[in-house]
Amino acid sequence: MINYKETTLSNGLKVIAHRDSSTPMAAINILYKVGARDEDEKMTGFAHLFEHLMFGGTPEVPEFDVVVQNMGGESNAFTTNDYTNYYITFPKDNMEVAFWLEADRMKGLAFTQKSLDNQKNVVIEEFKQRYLNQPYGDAWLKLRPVIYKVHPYRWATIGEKIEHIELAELQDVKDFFYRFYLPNNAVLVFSGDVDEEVVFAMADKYFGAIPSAAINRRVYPQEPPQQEFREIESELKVPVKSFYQVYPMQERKHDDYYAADLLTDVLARGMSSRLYLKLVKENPLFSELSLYLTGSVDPGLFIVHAMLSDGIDMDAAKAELQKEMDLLLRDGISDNELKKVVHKSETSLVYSEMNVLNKAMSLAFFEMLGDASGVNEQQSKFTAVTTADVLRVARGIIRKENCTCLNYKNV
Amino acid sequence: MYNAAGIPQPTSDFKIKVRAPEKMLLSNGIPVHYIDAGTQDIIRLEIFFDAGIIRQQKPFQALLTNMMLMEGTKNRSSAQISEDVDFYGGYLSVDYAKDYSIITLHILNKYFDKALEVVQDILLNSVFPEGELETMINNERSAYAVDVEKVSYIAQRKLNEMMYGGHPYGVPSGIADFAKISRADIVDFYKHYNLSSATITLAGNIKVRELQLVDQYLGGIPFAQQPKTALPRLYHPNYGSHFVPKVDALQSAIKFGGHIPLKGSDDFFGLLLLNTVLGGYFGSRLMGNLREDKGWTYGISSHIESAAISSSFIVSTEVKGEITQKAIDEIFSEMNKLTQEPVGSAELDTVRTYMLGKFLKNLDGPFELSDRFWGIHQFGLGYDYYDKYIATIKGISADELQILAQKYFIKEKMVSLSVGAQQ
Repeated sequence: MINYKETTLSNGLKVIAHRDSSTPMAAINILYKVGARDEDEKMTGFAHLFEHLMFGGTPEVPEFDVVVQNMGGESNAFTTNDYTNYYITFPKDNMEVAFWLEADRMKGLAFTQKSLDNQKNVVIEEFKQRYLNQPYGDAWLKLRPVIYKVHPYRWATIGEKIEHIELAELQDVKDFFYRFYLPNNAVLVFSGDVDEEVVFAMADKYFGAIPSAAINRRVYPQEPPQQEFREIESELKVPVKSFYQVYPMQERKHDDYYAADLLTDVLARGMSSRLYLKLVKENPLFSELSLYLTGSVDPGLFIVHAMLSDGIDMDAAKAELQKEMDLLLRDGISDNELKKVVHKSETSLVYSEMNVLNKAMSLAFFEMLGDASGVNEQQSKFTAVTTADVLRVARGIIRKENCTCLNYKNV
Repeated sequence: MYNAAGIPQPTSDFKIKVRAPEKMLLSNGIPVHYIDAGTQDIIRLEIFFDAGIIRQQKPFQALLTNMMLMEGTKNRSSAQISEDVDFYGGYLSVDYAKDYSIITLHILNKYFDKALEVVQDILLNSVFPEGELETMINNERSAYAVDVEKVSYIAQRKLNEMMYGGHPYGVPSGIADFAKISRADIVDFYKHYNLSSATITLAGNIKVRELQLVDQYLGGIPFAQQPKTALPRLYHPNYGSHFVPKVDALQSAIKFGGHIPLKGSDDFFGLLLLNTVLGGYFGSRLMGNLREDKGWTYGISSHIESAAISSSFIVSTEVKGEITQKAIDEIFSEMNKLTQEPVGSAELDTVRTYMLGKFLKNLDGPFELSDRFWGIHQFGLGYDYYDKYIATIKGISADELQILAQKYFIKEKMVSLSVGAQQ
């Protein structure tokens, strides 16, 4: 349970304060409601490149991180398809510096050519390090455009290709900033041992005068339901045969998300999960099997990722996996299986509320989805799921005509 | 440092209080170091054993013995071990490192007894079933085959070999070594999981009930007192530059390594600061040069690794393949600069404040406090280690740092290596 208070400044900035009296550390987290889905299809990867530029200095402060380090803090950020999230953790005595600093870069950036040129290079190296120079690193570059035909989820946050990152110019950076980096397009969360009213007053002092503007957000074209099985191959030479089976499913806010999440746990979370027992241990066709959800704001994905055991035929392995899936789709799951994964979700939630940064991020995320209170409804939503729900949701998602498969056969 | 209009001035005068755990002896004499702190009804139990890589006779022996702990007892199959912990929402895991192996349990207070019963069973009754071992070896071999395609992984292995020639830390291994491990090797290595040299830590919401439960389940386990056997201490570094070809690599991995004195010895504290200046934080010299100025890499860092027989400083990065040699030269050049010129006062102040803030963060919460305990206890150090640490951060001078750089940043006493398509 995360207790919090919230307010909205006159410029539309949402401010949420969570008091945690057990710690000398504090976190400020600012989520901007802009992600890769807001990019121009001819310049993908831009939201993430822009995230790098938010550390490139302002007219007031040449180097963001130097100030952070001088307050004994650490800062970082990440970009998703839906949003961009920035945070600083620091000893709470330096709270005022943190507010000043985040407000300063919400007002404007230095917009220097040097910073842009440099971060383009850094991001291109990131692209290589994480997506090209790793076995299987290209998986999502391959999968997304096959699964999503019209929705902007069809490209990865890093971008469709390196060439797109090379295209970015300073004017694009400025336009993006003034279009999306607005107080009325952001959520600020402070978490630490400070009275909530003090937090609100400080937010108003530093952020209150930043002008808002109308947000020119695109209408995201929604993906039509998939009607046919899709299959692609990666030509990359890999050490171990592998495949992905990906199924479109409901969006994060949908109540069925929770049933689907528990379904992935029943199937593949931990060493007592069904697929692990049957297909990794009893009949070791796979060396690893993992299932997870993207949990995106628009309809997301249910993902099966399999690594085959040495010398196993891919079609045979897929057939056995399908047998297990069919069994589940026929009989559902037992009460005990459900109870187990609900217990696991409870431990995970309790664990996730152990530090100020996690709590701040969760509050910001749920506020972006629609209401911060959602953070405290997760457990009851997990508990409310029935075995019938899991079966219904499984039958809705795990259908061959709803599946896209990516194979790595080239060992 | 920065004089922007209206910017509030930060303080570096943080109240830092390092809390040590309480100690209790179980009925059988095993010490438990516990910290009751935090806001959540959750517990972390850790059991450390003198069963790390340093005790290995063969590659993968420590890894596989460690993983086999979860694979069956006289009373429970592998699946039952997992089921009986998973059902109560617990997370039971095992891991191994250079100098120790560990069993870790995370569980909500209300189910602590259920999970402890399984831990007890593992400690009393492990049987290492042959069939489970075979599956385990196959799966680990696959995971290894994937890892050795990554330049950073190859570089890490090569660095260990070059830094610790002739020592268990640095024994070269390959995929063929998986075939050379038998159940007998696992059973033999299991002797290092003797409770007479184990340390138990407990952190979270720890009250009388939790301590009683630990004693109830773990305090009755019998064990033979074993004299501590000496650690192998000899190793032969192969200093100089090395190259491992990896065709088709788009980026090269670069690693530097050098030996420094043991954790807690005189120069060690200053070296922690020197390391931070060089590559230990986002604003470091190496990040400023190779990432922020040249755009050659997504990231570069250095860190200090402490082990039982040696500490070392290590620099790691992955860079654009074409500029591998230039990047190596720049890393040497940044080290050299630290030997030539004292660190400026503004930069040094930044590093001091950064490190104090980071240390405060590393004391935040029961698990962090417990980690700080193990961080000294495993080296036989006491809490004065942290007093010296803070005093050095606050007090060391730029001249002293320069002397340390001159003493330890010596090209001839360093390993530098790259893995990639071109040298």
